[in-house]
Amino acid sequence: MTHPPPRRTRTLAVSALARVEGEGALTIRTRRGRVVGAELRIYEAPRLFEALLRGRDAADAPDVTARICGICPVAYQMSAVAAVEQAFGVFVAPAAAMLRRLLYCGEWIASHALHVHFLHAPDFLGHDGALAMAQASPELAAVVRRGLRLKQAGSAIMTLVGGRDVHPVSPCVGGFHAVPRVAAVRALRDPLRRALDDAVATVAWAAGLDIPDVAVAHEWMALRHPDEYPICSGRLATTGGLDAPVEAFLDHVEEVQVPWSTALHARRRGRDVVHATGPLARWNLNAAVATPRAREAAAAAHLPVPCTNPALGIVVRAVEMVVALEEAVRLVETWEPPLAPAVGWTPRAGVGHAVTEAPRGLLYHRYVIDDVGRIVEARIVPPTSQNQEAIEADLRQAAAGFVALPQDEAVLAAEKVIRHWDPCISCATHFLRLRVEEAR
Amino acid sequence: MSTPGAIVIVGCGGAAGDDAAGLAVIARLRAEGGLPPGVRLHAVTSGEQLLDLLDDAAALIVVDAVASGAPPGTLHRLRWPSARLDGLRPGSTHQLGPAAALALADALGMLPPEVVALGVELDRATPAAGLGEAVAGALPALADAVRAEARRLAHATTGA
Repeated sequence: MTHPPPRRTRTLAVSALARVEGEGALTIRTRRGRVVGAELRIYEAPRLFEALLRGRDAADAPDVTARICGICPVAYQMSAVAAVEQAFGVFVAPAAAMLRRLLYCGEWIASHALHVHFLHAPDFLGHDGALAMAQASPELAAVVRRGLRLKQAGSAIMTLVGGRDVHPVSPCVGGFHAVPRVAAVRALRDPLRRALDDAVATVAWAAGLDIPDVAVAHEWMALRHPDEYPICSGRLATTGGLDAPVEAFLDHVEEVQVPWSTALHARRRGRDVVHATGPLARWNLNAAVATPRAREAAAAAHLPVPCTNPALGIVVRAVEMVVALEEAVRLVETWEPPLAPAVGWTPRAGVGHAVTEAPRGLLYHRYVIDDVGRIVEARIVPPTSQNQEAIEADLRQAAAGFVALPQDEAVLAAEKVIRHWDPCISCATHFLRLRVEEAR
Repeated sequence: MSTPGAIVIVGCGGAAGDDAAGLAVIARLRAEGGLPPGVRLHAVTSGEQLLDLLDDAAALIVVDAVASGAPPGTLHRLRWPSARLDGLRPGSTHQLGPAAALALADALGMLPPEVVALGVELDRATPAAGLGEAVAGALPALADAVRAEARRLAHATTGA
């Protein structure tokens, strides 16, 4: 096969960047045919949210920030309530903390079920989406059905605990506005046990896909917890040896503007490494405290620790669904209601920080609050802004293999690299414009 | 628990102006009734939610706002499968639109034998705005169309 001679600038046709939330435009720069740069342009809205939070009641932060994302609203609510509670010196009842972990498990399950089965799997199977998979064979239709069942299991938790499955309404500073009845919580046990079996089957199935053998050299950053797979609490850790309280997040991560993107890039402060957050990072730092069936399923699937192949994210997400479902089963079996849905609090001036683990990774919130409980300053660092540099590094690494390909194939190859990361970029349109520029 | 052989009515929509029509009609039907027995009413904001509601459905009525170029307030009725529904693009890639959800449910054999989409032509889907005049004015007729469809389907599915 021969390729046309390289032109100074080659613009590849616009194709829908399917199965990624948002708009992306990618420019790859080459010099004498060698890849010298990759710039991914994406939009994110949190900066506007930070501005509109100023002057508002801190107790509104969970509900306002939940609107940043329709896929991971619980993550925003949980980071926001935890940060505001820290500023006010509020300690929630253990029963409320358990319920928050359960709610968050629901979001992990629903989000991962969707990405694994609907957004990521088609890339390994040569289909352009879940509909094509469902039409391809009875076996693949069964896989799509399993994805829907798992998504439904996660949504059921969010509906019961959160009041509704999209943008839950029940969490608040101090606990919950209302908690579900014990009988309703217990009734989730059997459907969640069935979903757990589905998740275990998903791990084995995902591990059997034709997954490319790639290794990246990122520093993985996640919460680390000595006793449990971290979701709402833990210390900030990296595979490079960082171990710090979450309050020190901004000492270790800084946000910088890059000319090609409206989204800030978050990078390690004072260190020349690309850090990455998300399921691989959590797994690499917490595999030892994963739940028993998750560890068993991961071992049977030969999932390495550490895992440095972003394409294996599909297996790690499946393992994390097992973690979340085992945890959810445990929580619905043992939860007892608190004396009151929320503990009382009074506002006071202060600063609160929190990090929780959103499905896509580490989500940092920081609020400066005045003495009547109004937000003076808000800072939100979402996982996708932290992962942009890792995605670009992976694109540079992979681009040598696809820049010379015909446009459709090059766009698809680039999209696959991006989709391994499940980036969530809330935006109105969905295009990847791939532009290959040959430098003079 | 769901009622076996139920007629499932799902209103789809969001908070942006006339896009809330599907949600508003469900609220109206809940308040006013006038539906045959064994009907389940749901309001959803995304297509995947629709996929969770099809267990034991004998028939499905989907109600949503429509942008086809017709005068605002015009009522639409389409029976699945329909080429006019096939070509619709999803509003988001992490969420399925109602048409994509129907296509997926169809491919998975989850759709009941009777699926009808009822819609009202929207004027403006302005964020944070309420329903516009044309769509608000058409809501009683849309609710009546849903009731008539439900009665027809109740008759057809029970064979009465």
